[in-house]
Amino acid sequence: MATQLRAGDRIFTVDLVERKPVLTVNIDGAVWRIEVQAAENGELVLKLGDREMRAWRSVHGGEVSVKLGARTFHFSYLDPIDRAKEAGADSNELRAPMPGVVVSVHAQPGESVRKGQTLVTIESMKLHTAIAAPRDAVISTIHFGEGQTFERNAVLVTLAAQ
Amino acid sequence: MSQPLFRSVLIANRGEISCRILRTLRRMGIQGVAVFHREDRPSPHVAAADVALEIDGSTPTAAYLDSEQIVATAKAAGVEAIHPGYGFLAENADFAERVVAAGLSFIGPRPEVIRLMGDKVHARDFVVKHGFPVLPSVVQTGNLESFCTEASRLRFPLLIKAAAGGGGKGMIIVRTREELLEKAPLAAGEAKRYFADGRIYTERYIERPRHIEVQVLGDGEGGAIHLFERECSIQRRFQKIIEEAPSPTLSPALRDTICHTAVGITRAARYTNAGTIEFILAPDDTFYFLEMNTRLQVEHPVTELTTGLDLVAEQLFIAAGQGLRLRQDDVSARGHAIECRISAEDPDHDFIPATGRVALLRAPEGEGVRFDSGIREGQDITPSFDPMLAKLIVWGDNRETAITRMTRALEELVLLGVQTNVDYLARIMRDEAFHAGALHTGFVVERATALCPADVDDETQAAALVAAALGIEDFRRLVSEVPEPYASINRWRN
Repeated sequence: MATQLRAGDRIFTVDLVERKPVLTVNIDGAVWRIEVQAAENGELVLKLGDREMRAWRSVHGGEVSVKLGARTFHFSYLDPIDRAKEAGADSNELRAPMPGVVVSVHAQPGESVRKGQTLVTIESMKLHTAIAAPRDAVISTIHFGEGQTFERNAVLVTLAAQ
Repeated sequence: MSQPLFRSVLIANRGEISCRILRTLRRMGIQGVAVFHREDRPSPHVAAADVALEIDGSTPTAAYLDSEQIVATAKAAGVEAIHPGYGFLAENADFAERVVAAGLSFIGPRPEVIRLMGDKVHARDFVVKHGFPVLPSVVQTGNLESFCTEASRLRFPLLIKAAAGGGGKGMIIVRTREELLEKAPLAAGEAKRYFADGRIYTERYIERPRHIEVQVLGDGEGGAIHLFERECSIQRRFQKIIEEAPSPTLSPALRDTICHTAVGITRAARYTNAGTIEFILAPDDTFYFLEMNTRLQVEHPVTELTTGLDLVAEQLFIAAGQGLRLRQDDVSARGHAIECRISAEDPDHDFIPATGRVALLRAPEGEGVRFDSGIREGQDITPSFDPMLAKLIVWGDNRETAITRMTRALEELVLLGVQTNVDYLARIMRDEAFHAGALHTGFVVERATALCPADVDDETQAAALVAAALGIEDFRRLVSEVPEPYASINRWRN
């Protein structure tokens, strides 16, 4: 089964082609032979042809970070089970980009709002962020009141379906 | 040292600055007492302290801002002095007063000086009265409408600020009268929210200004010295991210004038302990008093690396009533130091703060490299606190050597599990305008395109993806558990 990793708005599909003698993968149609070893200090040593690269990696939940040379990569593992769930996700839901607290609510259920209009102001890490309407819409539900805290990815506002 | 200055000192702070102060206390044979909110129990400053005492609060920040509880904790612990660090209660005159009233030493200036300098309007009036340069400005005394009418008489562009402000919160640049009318209420709203004081003021905005500040020490009796300047022009959202000493382009004469102006203001205020006088330097080399920070600064290490002094130790000597140990002639600066503030944020998306967990941490090492950190592996980075995680400071014989060392140190620094600005800082270190010393406070915005990450070559991308995929259990199982023939056959089936 293919492994999917998301970086920003790009999704990479990594297919295992062969594991011996050299790990061979197909990434979005291009085949790579990569020799991988773990160094004593925990670093990964990756050899592609003549090129040797060293990488540090951390995994926390489905989030994978890789520091390769001077560059840091962040990937989210798209778990096949979650993927199935996400396919049915509701585009009428506005979710929290970070955990935080609601500072103020600027709209009410049943209200018609314009694209770009601020619906809720949230505060995370001492920074205020406006959650704005992505399109002209009617508000269905505001899920948190002023002063209430929420986790990352919590649904803050539900818009009525178009 | 025959007898310690204090037997025991409580640090009313957390994170890297608490750890930093504890190091000096330990070196000087003084017991270091830390305080912590339960969310911070696993933090390094708790582990590094001789004694760590829990404080309560509805939120972690509320606990570190609870001056009554902190003073009571200090009294119960039997300490002789309190060091406030920076942020939290460091520039809270009421706190300093409470500390003194409890019979403890406050490691910082007198409450009335904190109060004077903490109010931008009063501070500015004080500086003008003593004949030092400030920018033309208008202070809100009545309603917003009359404020806007008066402000419109100044030359645009203008900078609107909170009268009780600091840290870049609630600052807005306006270029026309219409913009002023539109933005003044927003600035007043932000001022009210952040500082519980809705008064605003405005001053002429200097285009392409540079931020130059001078580290000073005062004995409280009008005696003062400077420890030279720092350039802090690399900022995002009015907050510093890179600081260096000396400033790369000040002429010796201008440096001398600015440093002596700072000493003059310090003397006039009969300032006690360590402080920083901030100036705006215009492209025509005129400079203006911006504000005085009545505390140890985040960026104090660059001064320590160039002067060889320990600023926390100097603070302790002054607070213990021993005055200034150094005369101006005793202070000299050597080489070049740069500090980068390592923050949990996404520089490629408007520096939005990031949360996560410090899953992997490897500090850079080597000659001239210092890493002041308040985090440890496994620690959660929550939205409760400021996104700054650590500071990386380097020293070199000259600026180019320091830049090279910083570039290498940023590459060596491994801090994974939460998004940081490490790559971005490394890109600034490689930027030609930064190398040329063409600095101003709009640098980050002006160089935004040049500072974008370069495209990744396909090989590097593939290596990163494989390294990442091997961290995923499902993929690893595929690699290790698929019986050999099938692993090969897989290719044909697909």
